[in-house]
Amino acid sequence: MGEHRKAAKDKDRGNRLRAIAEEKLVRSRAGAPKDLAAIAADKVLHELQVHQIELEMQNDELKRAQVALEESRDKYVDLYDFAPAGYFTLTPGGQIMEANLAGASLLRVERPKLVRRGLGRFVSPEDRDRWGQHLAGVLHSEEKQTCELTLKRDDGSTFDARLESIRLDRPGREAVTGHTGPMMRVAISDISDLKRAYRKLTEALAQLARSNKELESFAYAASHDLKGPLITITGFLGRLAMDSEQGNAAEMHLDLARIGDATRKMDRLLHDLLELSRIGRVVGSLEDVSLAELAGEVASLLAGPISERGARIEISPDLPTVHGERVRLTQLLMNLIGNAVKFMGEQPDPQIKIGARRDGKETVCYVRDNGVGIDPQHKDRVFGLFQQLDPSRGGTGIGLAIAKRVVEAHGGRIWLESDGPGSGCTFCFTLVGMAEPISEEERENGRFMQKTLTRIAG
Amino acid sequence: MDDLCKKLLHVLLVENDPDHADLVTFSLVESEPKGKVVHHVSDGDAAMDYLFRRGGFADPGSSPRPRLILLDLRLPKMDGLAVLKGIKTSSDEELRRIPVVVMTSSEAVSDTAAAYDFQANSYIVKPVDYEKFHRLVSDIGRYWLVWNRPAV
Repeated sequence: MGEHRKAAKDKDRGNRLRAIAEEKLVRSRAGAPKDLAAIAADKVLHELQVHQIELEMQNDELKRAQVALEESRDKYVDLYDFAPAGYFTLTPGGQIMEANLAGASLLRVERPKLVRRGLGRFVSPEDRDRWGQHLAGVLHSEEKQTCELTLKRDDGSTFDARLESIRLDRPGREAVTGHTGPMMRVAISDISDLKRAYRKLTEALAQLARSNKELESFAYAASHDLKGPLITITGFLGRLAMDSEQGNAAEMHLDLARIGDATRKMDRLLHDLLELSRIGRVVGSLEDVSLAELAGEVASLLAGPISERGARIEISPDLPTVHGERVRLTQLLMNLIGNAVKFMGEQPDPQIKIGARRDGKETVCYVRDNGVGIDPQHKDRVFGLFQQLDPSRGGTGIGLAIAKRVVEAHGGRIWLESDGPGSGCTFCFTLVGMAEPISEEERENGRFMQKTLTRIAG
Repeated sequence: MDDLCKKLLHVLLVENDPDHADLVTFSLVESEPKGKVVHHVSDGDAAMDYLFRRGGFADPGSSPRPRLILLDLRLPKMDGLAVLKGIKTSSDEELRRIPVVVMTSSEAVSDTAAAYDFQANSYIVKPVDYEKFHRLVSDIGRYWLVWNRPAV
């Protein structure tokens, strides 16, 4: 049915061409003489001329069609070469037969040099198995297959790539390519930026979950521990009323003293809590801080309690320099050294050493004392808010929680080493250094990812 | 001497805040019934030492069996819930049957639930108002030491 219509259309077009050609010829010979032989010759000539014009016209049309084809081909070559993804045509064995310019520039290899190389050679060694599975999947399926791999360029640089591959079932290709089996088309996009933004977002979400959890335990601790001094204050106010009824002046004095102490404790608690809540928010500028120098400053700030307890302080010069907030790092050393002084117990020769040791790839700083030590089963709890092992030593139970937050804000970890009561304590910490505040570009990436995720979730 | 000791009403108070311990002790001792003796320890380890007669409490004379245990939850060293669990899962049935009243300032639902899961006999939130505090502690003493019938 379709064939018929096409033939009819061609015939129609031929007739039209002939009519136009004849008309042109008649117009060009108007008023010529007519004898019989001439008429016969004229007729032949006429036919020939009509054909000639017809052919010329067909030629013109072919030329126009060719130009249109070339334009369209160029357009597709452009689209192929400058597509945002790299396109590769592969043999069943994974050898590159064709690649577009984007593909060549992704792999940073000139296009002619790509041909006949195995695409698998660009897959990072740890992803080779997955690449093999992907190839097999493409060859055994008619559906498009996708996978994400790390690709490694000849210069050693790597990028995260997303591959979308499909088998090309075009019979007769074997003759052209000299390969048996179906060819494959692989589209490769560089998703490094997306991955980076995703990782950042995941980190930010984890951070958010952590701070939510922290806030929860903070609210719990605050509800319990901030009420403590209030109960003491109202309690001894009640006792004060009773004692004044009985005219017991000595007891009244004691009641008032305890009310005063509890009020001051409340004040300290609120002050320390405010401090704790401020850590992690960069307020001052970040700078390179030498911990050895800083430890010296802190030791002189604590000179009073240190000499009172008769403690010897040793500061090792191999302490590292850390990029961070000077005020916070001062707070960290203040709390750790102050803690060491406070928990010296009956030690006749109190010693505190601030030093650093190499532990694999990281530098571990430490504040070591030969004081009362701690039962190893409690060594994680000491960093918890309001967790005091010995409330009679004063303090608010916030100092080590502050130390922990300062360390974490500088990308590090803090832990306690102790062989048990009587064997002293070593507070260890690592400090990576504080990152500069997040850039506008990263913020944008984050927002983009957030939107995308919201869309996916919605 | 032994008889006298048995007539006394021993209460074990596990409380890390010395001011609160004084307030509770005062209210217990000042109210009926008379004859209460409050043994105060300020952390979880000491509470376990007292109850299992270890360390400084190895001498039974220093650690008479209490008729009532008042237990705070947030304690230094071993925490209150662990102490509660230690008491209620003890192989010593006499110890297991001693009423434990959790007395804390925590209003967290998780703490209440955990305390009951570990067989706390009562859960009391310390009131900030002193009149209520004093009356509450006196009532607790009266209820558990007079009205409530102990296992032994």
